[in-house]
Formats: sequence, structure tokens, C-alpha cells
Amino acid sequence: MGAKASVNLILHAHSPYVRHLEYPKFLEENWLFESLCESYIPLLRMLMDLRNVSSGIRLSICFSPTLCTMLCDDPLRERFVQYLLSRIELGEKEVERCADQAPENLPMARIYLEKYRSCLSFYEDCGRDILSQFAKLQEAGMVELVATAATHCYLPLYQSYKTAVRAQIEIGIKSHIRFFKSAPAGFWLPECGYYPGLEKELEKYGVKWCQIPAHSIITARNRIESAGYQPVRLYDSSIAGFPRDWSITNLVWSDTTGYPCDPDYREFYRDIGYDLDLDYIRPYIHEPDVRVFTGYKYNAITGRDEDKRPYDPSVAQKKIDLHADNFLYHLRRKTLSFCAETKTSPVLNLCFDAELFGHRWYEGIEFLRRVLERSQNEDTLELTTPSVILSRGIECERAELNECSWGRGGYSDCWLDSENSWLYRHTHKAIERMEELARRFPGQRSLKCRFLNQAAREVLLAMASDWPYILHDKTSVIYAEKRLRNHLGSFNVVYSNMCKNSVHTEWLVKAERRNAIFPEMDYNLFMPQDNEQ
Amino acid sequence: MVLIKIESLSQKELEHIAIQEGVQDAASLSREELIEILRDIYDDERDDEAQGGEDNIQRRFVTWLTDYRGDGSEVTSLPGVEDLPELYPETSIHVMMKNATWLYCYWSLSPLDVEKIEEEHGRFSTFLHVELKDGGLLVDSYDISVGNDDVEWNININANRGQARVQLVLETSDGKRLTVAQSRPVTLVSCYWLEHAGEIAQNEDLLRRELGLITNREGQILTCETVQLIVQKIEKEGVR
Repeated sequence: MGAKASVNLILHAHSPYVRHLEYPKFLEENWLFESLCESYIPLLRMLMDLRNVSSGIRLSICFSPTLCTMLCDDPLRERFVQYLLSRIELGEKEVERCADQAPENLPMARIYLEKYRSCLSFYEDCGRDILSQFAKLQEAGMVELVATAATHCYLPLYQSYKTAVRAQIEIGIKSHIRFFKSAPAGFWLPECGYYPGLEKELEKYGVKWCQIPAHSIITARNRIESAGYQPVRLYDSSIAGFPRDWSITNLVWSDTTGYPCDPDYREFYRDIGYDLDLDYIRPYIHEPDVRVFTGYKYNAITGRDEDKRPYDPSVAQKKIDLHADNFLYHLRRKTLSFCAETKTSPVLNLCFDAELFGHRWYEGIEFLRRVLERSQNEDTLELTTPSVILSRGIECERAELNECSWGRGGYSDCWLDSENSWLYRHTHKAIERMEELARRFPGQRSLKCRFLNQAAREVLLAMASDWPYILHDKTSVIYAEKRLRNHLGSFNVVYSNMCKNSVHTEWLVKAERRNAIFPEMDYNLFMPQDNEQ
Repeated sequence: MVLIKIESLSQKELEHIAIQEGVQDAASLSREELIEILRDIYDDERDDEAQGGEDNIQRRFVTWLTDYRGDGSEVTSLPGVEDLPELYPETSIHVMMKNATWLYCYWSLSPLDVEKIEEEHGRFSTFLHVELKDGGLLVDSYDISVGNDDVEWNININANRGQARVQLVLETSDGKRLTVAQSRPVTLVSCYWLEHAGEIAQNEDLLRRELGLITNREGQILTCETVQLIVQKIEKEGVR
């Protein structure tokens, strides 16, 4: 038998629901805009190019429901266009400035300007709707689109609340069907968060597979012979778990030795938004005079010092080639040694956050393009998706996994530490009260139904994994805390009104307008089943 | 995820971070001084974390720079939204697994319950009673004394299988122990290779495959306490 590995590249695209139409500009909305123009659109364009090159390229992509909602939201689409126009205006100024004052940066200024112009043109050409373009790639067999939890909730910390876990799964899957017009076979576990019993819930919704953390195999409750190189069957369910290959993904992912750390690559953190005079940069940063990234970055990583040399794209191109070849070399080497030892073919699962490519790692999309293209010349590698693997009738070994995640330490420390543990008292209580409302007011119609559905939306939005992670990481702490308190406080408005059997109509209309998400919401999802009372 | 070191940041960026961290004279400090001060700030904050160190410091800078840390005042609430209470007026206890050796527990005591108990029994002290069971059999149990004002606790678990359950217990001045709330059981991490380290130590091929998934090209193994324990046990057993 010739040695051949099945390689599942699985990308996960997610952004928390951030939509503040009450302000003409809102800084945290830039999370979406930067990811769109630096990662999602370049990724889509690269895949559309490759579709014409080879029919053997396959990968899986998960778009979270919160991200999909924002990508399909007309006001946010318009804001994204305005964002691009503003970058183009800045680019035109930059070309002039660099020609006069910083000729070493002029080539990059021109490249960025062209990038933004081209991005805008593409975005308009596809009707500002990139999701339907990804759906077409799925129809063409190139991409498998994967669902995830409604608000990207870290599920292990809600395992005591089965109604809430089910609501996250059901609304996640229904949203996926609404956006992509097809039922998903795969379900991305947010943060790779798994707990024993989750597979039973996934099974109820027709899910066939999910990804699982690399260390879940060696730390399992039973002996697993396939050692993470084949999908496993989670307990007695029909759900297949695809273990992430940490050794291979670490070639990219490592913060110290990963490819993106190469000194010739573009420095992400040196941006004219921080470096140029305020008077010049003011229209493109946040009011009042808060320096932020503009996207115009002219330096190479260079080293650990402040002094950075100008970025040279031709030097970086050579490194992309080297790194793509090195990545394929490691895949090939692993495949050959595994096949020689076991006489079987491994399944290698490479899971990444999509935003790493293009956004954090400027050259990341080109790296992916090279890897996908050149893999077509590799006899030892076949690009597949988990569903393709399962369609081959593969026998999965039974695995009894422990609770786990891909967070630092392998468990829940990132989402349950001294900075964020306080929130669970409130989110858990909101779920208990939502269950109480579902029991007391089942099968409502009209206004009360809308009121209760809005309450359920607020609960799900409060459960997002982003808030505890931001609190853990101490990044946009105040924003995250405020959002959490707003969602939970909004839920309490419904709860206290419904306890008086009344509906606060004015509040409801405003709340629905503010959090325009999950039209498929049904608060009855929070009705505990008989054995859960 | 993280592509930069603190040393790479420009003077302006370092000043900006330092001002956010409350360093008054940031603008007058040298680059080296700013780096030193910021390292101290973040080291102090991370001292209680077992996995602190340079990587964590770098991670904070890296993610922060993309995310403006505003004062939050721009995020408004809808009319009628009230502040969350500190606690809820109920008697309950909840436990979650933080990692293989630590549980996190939070609880509350209803003011009505407190009033009633004090009326009947006088003053009381509060305990967490931890029970570890395996296959229905009690393996271990112990009390943790907590203050009457405490509402949360991290519990160290020294067990490699079974379930843990925590009871909220009040010991009254007349010597009675009242269990006022009980958590749902939490399933503890149980690991086959921890209990059969000798087995995998004798199977070099399987061991190499298992570790191959979680070892990078520098030979470093993914950070996970359970994995480290397995490796230590295997080393003790001696790989064949």
C-alpha cells in the first residue's frame, strides 16, 4: 500500500456580535471590518482562484452564527464599505506622503491602496454577500461548511444546564441552515470545549462529527490504539471526534517559533495609527484621538528591538515558499513514518482560527494558497474533509474522553479564572430564570412570545465565550463587562415584567432593534425535559 | 496566535500602554524603563498563575493592541435595565471543573434562611463539605472552613477518578451541622495512562504515536498538567 494521509484543514471564523448602530462609528466593529478585508475576503478570493486550478482541493470552514449575522446585516455592510472608503482615502494620502517623505515605504503604500480598492470592488461585485459565495464553494465540493454554537459559548461550563446547551446547539444549527441553505454534518466545538455527554446532545441534531483537542486522546479514560490519527467515536454515540494534530498546527501557531514569527514577515504591531502625527492620522483613528490600527504597516518583524527595517514583499514571498514547502515536508514525513510503522493511513486534522491568516499573519493567505496548490503534487497527501472521511465507512475506535479544551492548560482555566468567574453566578441564574419563564408561560403567541424570545436571545448573547476570554486576557475588559451586564440586565427586564404578567412594549421594540439576531429563536427551547425538572 | 515580543513595540506604543496602566510619567521614561515597569505590572498580576512568565506577558500586549480599552461609557443600556445584584436571595451552591485538580465553587445564602437559622440556633460558622465518590463508594471527604462573608472558593482535588460533590454546611453554636445546599456532582478527570503507565512504557510505538500528536518540532510537549503527570509516570516506569 502506498503511504497516504488524509489531511483535514479546518478553519474557524468567529467574531462576537458587535453592532452599535446608535453611534456613527463604533471602534469594536473594526474587529469585523479588519477580519473581513484582511482574512475572509482574501480567503474567499484565493479559494475561488484555486477552484479553477484543481478539483482535489478540499477544506472545512466554520462561520459562527454571530459572525454570519453581522456579515448579512445591511447597516454593517454599509459601514464596512465606508470603512474601506476611508482606508482608500488614507491610502491616497499615504502614497503622496511616502513619495515625498518615506520612499522606502512607497511600494507598500501602493500595495495597500490597491488591496483596499480591489477588496471594495470584489465586495460590491458579489453583492456584499460573501457567505453565498462560500456556499457555492460547498456546492462545488471544495468546502465543507461547519456549524457551531449560537453565540460561540464555551459549553463545558454550562453542562449543568442542558436546556441552554441545547439552545446553543439548535439555534446554531438553524442559523447555519438559514445562512447556507444546507444542514451541517460538522459542529465546531467552541474553543474545542468538550465534556462527556455533549455528544448525546449533538447527536439529537443530526451532527456527524466535531473536532476535539489533541491531548484529549492521551488523557482519555480508555486506551485508544489509533492514538489520534483516526477519528474516534465519542462514547456510545455516533458522533466522530477528529483530534487536532498539535504538532503540525504548532508549526504555524507557535508564538515563538511559528512561521509567522519570521523576521522577514510584516510586523503586525507597527502601524501608522500609532506612529504618525495625530493631526495627520486623526480622521482615521477613533475619536477622541485614540490611536488604533489603520492597516498601513510598513515594517518587517526584523527582531526583538524597536528598530525595524522596511518590509520587503519580495523577500517575504521567498519565505512563504520556504515555509509552505517546510509545512508539506512535515506532513509528508509524519505520513511516511506513520504508514511505515502501522501499515495504515493517518487522518491529520489541522484546526486554525481563520483570522490568523491574512489579519494577524499578513502573508498567511498566500501561505495557505501555496500549501493547497502544492499539496496537489504530493503523492502522500490527500486533502479531505471529515465528512469525506466518514463517507468512506471508516471504523472509529470508541473513545471515552474527559472534559477538555484547546485553551492553555487543556481545561477550562481561561474561561474560569479570578477575572471572570463572577459572571457564571449571573449567567447560570439567568438560565434558571429562563427555564422558569418557559415553564410558567409555555406556548405563548404574539407580544408575550416576542418578549420571551428576546429574553432567550439576551441569555444566549451573555453566554458567549468571548466575554470571559476578554476578561481573562484583560484586553477590552470594560467593553466585555458592560456587554455582559447589559445582556443579563436586559434579560432581567423581561423576567421582572413577566413575573408581573406584563410586557414592556417600548423596551421590547428597542431591544429587538438593537440585538437583531436569531429570528428562529423559540424560548420554549428552555423548557426542561421531564427528567431535568 | 502571538507573533511579537514586547521589545518590538515602539516607544509610542509602550507609552500608550503605560498610560493605560496608570504610569503617570510615562512620557518622560526611556524605552528600557517602560519595558521594565510594564513587565513588573504584568508579573505582579500574574504571580498567582502557575503558568505565568514571559509568554503570558507577551500575549497580553499582543491582544491588547488591537483592542482599544475604552472606558466603556459609550455602551449604553436600554431603558429599564438595572444593575445586576451581587448575590441572589436564595440558598444554593454550584461547582464547576476548572482543570484536572481544581474545582471552582460559588454559593449564596438566602437572607430569610440566615434569619431563621440565627433565630433557632444563634450564630453559625460556614463550611464546605467535599465528598469524593467512585462508583457510588465514598473515597474521601473533608471540610473546608470558609468565612461567613465568602461566596466563592477554589477547591483542590487530589483524585484521579470518580465524582466530587460539595455541600454548604452551617455549624451552629449549639454544635449542630446543617446542610443547607448541595451541588450537582462533578465528574473528575480520569486517565487510563495515568493508571497504566507501565503498559504504555512497554509499548514504544504506541507511546511515540501518542506523544507525536502533542509534541512540536522543538521537542516541547503541549502544556497540560495531566500530560505532564503521564510523562513523569512513564519516565519513572522506564521506557523499554
